[in-house]
Formats: sequence, structure tokens, C-alpha cells
Amino acid sequence: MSDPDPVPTLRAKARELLEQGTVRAVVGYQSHAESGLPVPAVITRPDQAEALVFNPLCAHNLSRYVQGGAEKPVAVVAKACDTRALVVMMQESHIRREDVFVIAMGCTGIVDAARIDERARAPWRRIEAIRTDGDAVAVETDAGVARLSLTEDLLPRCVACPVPQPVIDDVRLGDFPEAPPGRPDPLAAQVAEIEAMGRDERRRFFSETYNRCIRCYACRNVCPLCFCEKCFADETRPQWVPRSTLGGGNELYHMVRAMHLAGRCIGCGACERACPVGLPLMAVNTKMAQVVDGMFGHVAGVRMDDTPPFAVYRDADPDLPGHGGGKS
Amino acid sequence: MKGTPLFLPGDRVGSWVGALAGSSTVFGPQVGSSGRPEFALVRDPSAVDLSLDARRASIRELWMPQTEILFRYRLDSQGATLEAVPRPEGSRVAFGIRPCEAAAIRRVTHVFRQGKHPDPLGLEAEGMAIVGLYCASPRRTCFCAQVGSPVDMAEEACDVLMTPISGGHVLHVMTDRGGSLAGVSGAAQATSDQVSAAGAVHAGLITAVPADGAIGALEATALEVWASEVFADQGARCIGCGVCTFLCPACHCFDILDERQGTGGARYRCWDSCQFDHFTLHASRHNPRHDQAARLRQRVLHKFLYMPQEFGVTGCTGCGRCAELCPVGISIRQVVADVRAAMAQEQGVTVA
Ligand code: SF4
Ligand code: SF4
Ligand code: SF4
Ligand code: SF4
Repeated sequence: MSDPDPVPTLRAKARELLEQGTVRAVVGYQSHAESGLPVPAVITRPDQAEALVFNPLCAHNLSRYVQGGAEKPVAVVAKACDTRALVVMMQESHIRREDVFVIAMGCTGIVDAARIDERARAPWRRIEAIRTDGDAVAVETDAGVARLSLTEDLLPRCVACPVPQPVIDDVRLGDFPEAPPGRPDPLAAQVAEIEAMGRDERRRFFSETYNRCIRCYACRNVCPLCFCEKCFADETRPQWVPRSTLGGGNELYHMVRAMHLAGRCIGCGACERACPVGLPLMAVNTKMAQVVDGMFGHVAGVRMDDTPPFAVYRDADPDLPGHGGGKS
Repeated sequence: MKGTPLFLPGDRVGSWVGALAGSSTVFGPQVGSSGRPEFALVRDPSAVDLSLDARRASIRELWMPQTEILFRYRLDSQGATLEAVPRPEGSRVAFGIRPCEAAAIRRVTHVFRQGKHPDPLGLEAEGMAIVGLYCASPRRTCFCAQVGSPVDMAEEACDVLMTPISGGHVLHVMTDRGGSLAGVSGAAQATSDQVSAAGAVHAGLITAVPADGAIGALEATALEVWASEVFADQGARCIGCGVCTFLCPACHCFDILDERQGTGGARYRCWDSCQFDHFTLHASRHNPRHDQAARLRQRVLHKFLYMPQEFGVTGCTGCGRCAELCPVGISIRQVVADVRAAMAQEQGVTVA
């Protein structure tokens, strides 16, 4: 089934869900009033459904907005990859399947909005229209058209999109690619590059990276799977992590967060995109996912009936070579 | 533009920075270790590059470092022994920051001066001389000319203002301190052509920012705008991170904490943010700003209602950092515009 423009159907569905009281809110994308860039929207009235959009600039992983405290039931507009976060939340009993109505949107990749700055006559202030034709995305701004490509200008996490089909859905809108695009993964390449560094160089790379962190916690707050009611980083009694940015506090924060996301991070890249100082946060996340896959054969959120490695204890669980843990 | 206009050829900027760095601590736009533009301590004057667009880098770091040790202490059976940590000495110069950023830094000192106990640390920013750099063009989210005027902000806050024109910069000297700074630049009297070229740049920036989005202080009482749905709507998508406040040149909230290892430690000051959910959390667990809408309202009203009421100036100078860097695209200009529109419509309250 081919649905060239799923947006009218999306709006009708959102309106229907709100009118019939099936959900209390719909989380979707709307065009920003000033820039026209898609931004998250939480709508609660049927008439607001007209504002919903979906296009190849819809980067946000909206499953973040269905975390614990949100009003339920809630409908969420989700790309295939975003559904993985919902699956992990459900496997961890953070949310219940029946509390979330999943509006899955067909997606062949999201383009990097930063490319608009490069391709339009800067500074553009407003996007008037976004037109997709095959591989071409024409972003019409007040400062000319920025032409982007759905192969050349994709977000790093979309280049080798591993899960183009939604893991769970209540309705599917648009066209879903049958299989991953089979392109080499730039994130894996980044990991390989860091691994190829010598010990000192790698040490320098990480300390320079984390030195620049301003501890705004946007990476944590935007993450769909950072849903602890009280984050270790905010605790002051005891204070697990120094809040000062002079010593090792930044590194500690990032290492503990990475560990807390091990086997849970679905690689959406939201953290890296949110970072206001441009830290390459996906390198560690990608490595962590590789380790978990290699040791436990687990890829987070790709099957509803999986058991996450954190949720089980098996005597036969492997240890990292040279790290015996409790076993000898 | 007030002040005597001088002209400094483009190739003389480096030697001027060198001269300033000889007698002061200078901060200026440079390429950081990551390859991104940032404002940093000038070690090599030739690394200062005024063509860099550092308008999304932190400015707050210049006058209030993210982490600052106030004193160290040692604990023993007798109690605590304090060890003072000396404050940075000598004069400091912020070189090449923009009019909006300069005005933001100056406005913050109102906050630290008020009340019975002015905060000497906060007021150190007053001692920092500012050599401003006028913008040839705005960034996408810049709105200085919608919340005031970049020319007025330059006059309000800069000791010297540099305006880029063909071949170099016109320098407007605004203060005595600015006179001594410009005195070592080797700049000559500007010609009338150079002065009018600078005037065209001044006006050009103002025209480049759309006039129809103008906003200003909210002329309402807090009660009149408190329940505005705009805060609830926008707050529903705000993720409560520290991006907008940590990067804002006019935000100034901090926390005081101790870090102790064994029997010794330090008391330090570090940035804090009204957007964090624990910022107003009481020991009783009561949180008067209990949701993100309330926290967003605080940020907006602090800048557009409370600061104007207390000090007659907005706590936002339209630098556009928060709007461009917010992970979910919340624009303070838009929020204020929406609140004003909603108030005007719903209650007939004039918030012009
Ligand atoms: S850690 Fe980053 S990539 Fe992983 S799920 Fe969270 S936001 Fe997405
Ligand atoms: S978003 Fe970036 S700057 Fe903010 S805490 Fe995370 S890594 Fe640090
Ligand atoms: S509130 Fe936003 S636009 Fe205003 S000065 Fe602060 S960062 Fe700049
Ligand atoms: S407005 Fe944006 S930057 Fe500020 S706290 Fe909310 S999400 Fe973070």
C-alpha cells in the first residue's frame, strides 16, 4: 500500500483519538511558529490535530514524552526506530502497552537540519515548505531553496538504519522500507576510528571531549530511556558525582550514564543532537551496544518478547576477557 | 552612535590584542580544541579571529566560570581550617563580544548589587572592560532589534565598539576606560566615509531582523499572565535541561556546594538552572515550581517582567542562543509574543 502523503491521515487519526477519548494527548510534530522546523508538540484538543506534520526533518524521538509522569493513555507519533524505545520502556515495566497508542510513520531517513544552513543563503529565518520527491528534499526558505538528499544528507544514525519496520504499532501510515538500506554505518566507523587510536591518544580524545561538557543534562533529559525519578547525577546525599566541572565529574557522569544505558540505549542519537556544545556522544553508546550484542546477543528494543540482559541472571553469562567478576 | 570614531585597519587587530594582553587578561573569539569557535583566554594574540562566528558559544564563562572554588578547607579535631583562594587579579578585557552579549553582562550586575548585601563576586563583572564587535548580519534566531536596539545595547555596555567595514573596523570609544583601551590600538581618526559606512552597518543589522516580531517587557502584573496557557503548551514539550539558561549571557543562577575528600575539601560555586526540576525543591519535598510549565514561566517572567519591574531593563537582549540551541526549539521571543497576544485577546489587558 502506497500513501504518498500520510499527513492528512495522521491528522484525522489524531483528531479521532482525541474526540473519542481513546487517548488524553497526542505527541507529534508541529512546524515551529518562527523557523518552520518540526518540533515536538503535545496536543490535547481535537482542533490542534490540524497542526501536526511529518516530514524528513522530524528528528526528535518523541517516545521521550510518554515517560512515567505523562498523562495516559497517550498516542505517540513514532518512526520505526523510535518504537524501539517504547519497547524497552514496556519490557522494563515503565509503561504499559495499553497506555500507548503507537502511530507508526514510514520513514526512509531523516536529514540533518544543519545542512539547511549550508545550502540556503544564510541566514534563513523561515521554512515556507518542505517538499520530498524520491531522494530529493527541497527545503524552501525565505532565503532560497536548500536542496537536501535522502542518501547524502542523512543523520548519522539513519545512514545504515537497522530497523526500518516498527517493532510495535497500532496504526501504520506511509511507506516502510522492507529492509535496511545496507549502507556502511558511520557510527560503527567512528567507533573503529577511536579503537584504532593508541591508549594515550584515546585517553586524550575522551578527556578533551568531556572537558567541554557543560553539564546541562540535555543528553539525559532528552533520552527516552533516562527515566529515573531521581538521577544519580542530581543526588546530593550522597553526592555520587561532583557537580564541579573541574575534576573528573564530567567523565564520571558520562561513564555512569553510559553504563545505565548499556543494553537499553536504542541508538536514536537524540542525546548527541541535543548537546549544545556538539559532543560526539554516540561513539560510546554505539560501542556499548556492540559489546552487549557480542556478549549477550541482545539488541535493545527490536523484539517485544526479548528479555533484556539486565532483567535476567544466568550462570553462563559471559565475562569480558580478563574481567573475571565474581567467577574465577 | 556616541563616542569619537577611529579607524583601525584589519591587519592591526592582532597587534592591538597583543598590546591589551600585555597589561590585562584578555578573552576573545578563537577556534577551540574541538574546532568550534569559542571565547577563551587569549594566550596567542594572533589566534584571535574576529571573523569567527562565536555567537553560540558561552559568554557567561567570561565573568562567571561554571565552577569556581571559593575557599578550601581542612577538617581536624579542632574544627575546620579555611584557606583562601585568591580572586583573579588585574584588569580583564572581553574582546569582540557582541552588543547583546555586552548588554547582558552589564545588566546582570543589577541583580548582584541589589539588597543589603551586594555580592562582590557577581560585581566583578563590572570591572571587566568590553571591546564590543557589531554584527554585520544576524543569525537565524537573533532578535536583538526586536527586544531593543543593538546600537543602544552597544552604547549601554561597551567601552569601545568595533564596527566591521571594508578594510578594517571603525572604533567608537564610549568610556574613559575605552579611551585607554583604544589608545594602544594605533587607530587613527576615522574619515567621514568610514563613519557613514559604519552607520550603514548599524542600520543594516536592525533592518535584517524582522520588525514585525518586536517584543518588549511585559506590561502586566504577574497575576495577569500567571495562568497563561502559553506556558502550559510550551512547558509540555520543554525537557527541563540546562541549555537555555547555561548558554544565556544574562542568566546568573548558581549553587554553592562542598566537595570533600577525606579531611579536606573545597567550597565552590557552580552554575545552576531554574529549568532543573530540583532547583526549587524544598527539604520537605514540596516543590513550588512543580512542573515544567512553571519553570518555563519563571525563566520568561524573570527576564520580561521581574527584571523590568526591578531594574527597568529586560533580562534578555535577544542573542538567540536559547532558541537556536534548545533541543526542542522553544523560543523565548515566541513565548513572550504569544503571551502578549493571548493577554490582549482574552482579557483585554494591554501588554503592549
Ligand atoms: S542514550 Fe542517546 S542514543 Fe541511546 S536511547 Fe538515549 S538518547 Fe537515544
Ligand atoms: S548535552 Fe552535552 S553539554 Fe549537556 S550534559 Fe550532555 S554532553 Fe554535556
Ligand atoms: S533569554 Fe535567550 S535570547 Fe535572551 S539573552 Fe538569554 S539566551 Fe539570549
Ligand atoms: S526551553 Fe529548551 S533549552 Fe530550555 S530547558 Fe526547555 S528544553 Fe531545555
